[in-house]
Amino acid sequence: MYTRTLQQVSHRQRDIFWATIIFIFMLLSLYIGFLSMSVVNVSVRQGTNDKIIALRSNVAQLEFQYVALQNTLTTETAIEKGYIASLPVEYITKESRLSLARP
Amino acid sequence: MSTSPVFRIRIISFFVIVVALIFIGNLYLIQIVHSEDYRNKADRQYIKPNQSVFDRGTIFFQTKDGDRIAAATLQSGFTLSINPKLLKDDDLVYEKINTIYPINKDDFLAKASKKTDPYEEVAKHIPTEIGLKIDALNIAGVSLYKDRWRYYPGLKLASQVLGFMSFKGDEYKAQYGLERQYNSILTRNQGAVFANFFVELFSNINKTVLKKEDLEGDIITTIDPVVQGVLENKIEELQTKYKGKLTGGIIMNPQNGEIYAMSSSPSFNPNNFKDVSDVNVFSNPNVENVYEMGSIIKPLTMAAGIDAGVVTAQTTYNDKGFLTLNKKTFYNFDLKGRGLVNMQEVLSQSLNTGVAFVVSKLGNEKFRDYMYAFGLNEKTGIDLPNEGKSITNYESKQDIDHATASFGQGPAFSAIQTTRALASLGNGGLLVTPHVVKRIESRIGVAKDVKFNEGKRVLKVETSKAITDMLVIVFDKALLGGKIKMEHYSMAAKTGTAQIAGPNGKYLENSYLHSFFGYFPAYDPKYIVFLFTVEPQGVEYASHSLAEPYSEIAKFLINHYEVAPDR
Repeated sequence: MYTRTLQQVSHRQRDIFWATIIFIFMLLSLYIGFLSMSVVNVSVRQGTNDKIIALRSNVAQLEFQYVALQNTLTTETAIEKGYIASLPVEYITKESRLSLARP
Repeated sequence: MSTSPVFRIRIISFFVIVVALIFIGNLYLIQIVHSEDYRNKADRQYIKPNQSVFDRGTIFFQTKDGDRIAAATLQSGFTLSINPKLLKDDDLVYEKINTIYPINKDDFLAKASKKTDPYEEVAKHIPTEIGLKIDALNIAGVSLYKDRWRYYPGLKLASQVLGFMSFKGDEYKAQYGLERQYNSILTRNQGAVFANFFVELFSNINKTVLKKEDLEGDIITTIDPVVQGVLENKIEELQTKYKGKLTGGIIMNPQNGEIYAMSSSPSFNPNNFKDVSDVNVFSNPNVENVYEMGSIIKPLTMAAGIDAGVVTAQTTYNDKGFLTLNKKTFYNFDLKGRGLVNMQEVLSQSLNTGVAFVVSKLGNEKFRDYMYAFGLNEKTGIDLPNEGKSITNYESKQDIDHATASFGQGPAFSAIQTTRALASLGNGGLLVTPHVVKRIESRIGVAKDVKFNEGKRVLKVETSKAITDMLVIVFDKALLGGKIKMEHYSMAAKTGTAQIAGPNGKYLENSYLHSFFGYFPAYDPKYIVFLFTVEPQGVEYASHSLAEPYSEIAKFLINHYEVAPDR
């Protein structure tokens, strides 16, 4: 009886031992996997960051060029390019119609 | 001797903890205490020193529609270096590089001749496409490293507000303007992406728990790039036309102190600041310089008199054209007396004797208290560095000093200080805090609107209305004979032509400062425009030099912001 119990305990310890080994191995594999992924991601992030910086800088340059062009627009330039000022619109009010209706 | 399992577990645990503590202690010593030594040792094993690529937060301008435009950003490219040991034909290498990217031949050959040196930097800040072309040549001994630097896409636009980055010794440091003012927010923890976990852990604890440093982020300013561009063009035009020593201008929201534009000429391009011969152009004269502002101070004196109840627009006095106090005499600008005139005429005709009359009714102490209340003896607290301190003589016992101070001669103020004080005339009597930054957005996603107090009350609401009434008449009827009056928009404005004191303290002959301010819509102003030019040539009065430019700026602002007519 005592021997059998010892055998059962020993058996369970062996199971725990192998389970632990497998668990540690899995953790190590995950660690290495995540580590390599993070290295790749850091590199990709760096590359993307560079692209963002280049794009942002280009966009900002274009924006400022646009602003500068906007500020060169004057009435004279507009007329030169074919702008014709519209005549001021005159609205007839109810009162004026009434007055027109008077003899 | 037998031991219990619990005892054995405790012994093992004890050893595990001790070993762990030893490891952590060692890590701390290696990575924190001796990190610099080890980094230096490691650097010596590389050809190029291990430097992380430069990074820094962005400064944005914001359009009226809320679109952001990066005003200070980064540009990436390459640093070109050579390993002289590996170069075979120095001249040929120079020729090959020079055809793509021009470099100084003597400088290159001198560096190439250092055959014992494995690393010599030939050029920095090479644009990406050019760097890639050089790289494609595949020359032995020529290397390209990633480089990043500060870039200002607007070139000269608001350069004195932005400041710039430059090397001070070996350190790439923020100089002047917002770059300097908000350096702690814009600065990036260099190479954080590759940093060691433990180093990060310890340094972050230090940062967040112990020192509570500013979070890294970007800043969004109140500067509208379109308005800034228009103001800058106008300032440049004035500077070219009148060949003054300096011309400056500010456009601000008088209700909350948000600055839409701030400019001065001469100016500079922060991308090529090395081309500048006079370093004084780097500073912001609108904030840092102080001047005797002249007659634009008269509305402040008049407002003080009205607020204290000693005068109204209709109060009259006898104008002899001059006044003698403490055995010193001062005159009206044209040396003429006008007899019995009211306070409206004092502002409309800019009579020195008239505002001196207001001070005589007010008393020197009360006059001083009002000027102090307008913030003329203190800094405005604007979020730009090196704000100039005013020079005042309001404590003087001499009546003559108070009389001349009433029309803006004697005390000297900065443009921003004057603009803030004048804004209180139109905004209902509040002294706002001028500012350039409205929002800070941290990298970790926390955004913070920069809040400023509503401002202390310096005038009654009725006084604000009364002085605005008077200034609207000045603009509509007196200024250039009413030529620039706007039929459907009420504008409150005043000019100033001040004498400039020489090094010995005496006023110089034919040396004047012209100043101008105006706010509109006068009874609920959204914009205050302040212009000044120092020692303009070929023009006598500010009404002739600055009134038209103001009118053009005001018309632009009305169109740009679609301001509704108010009369």
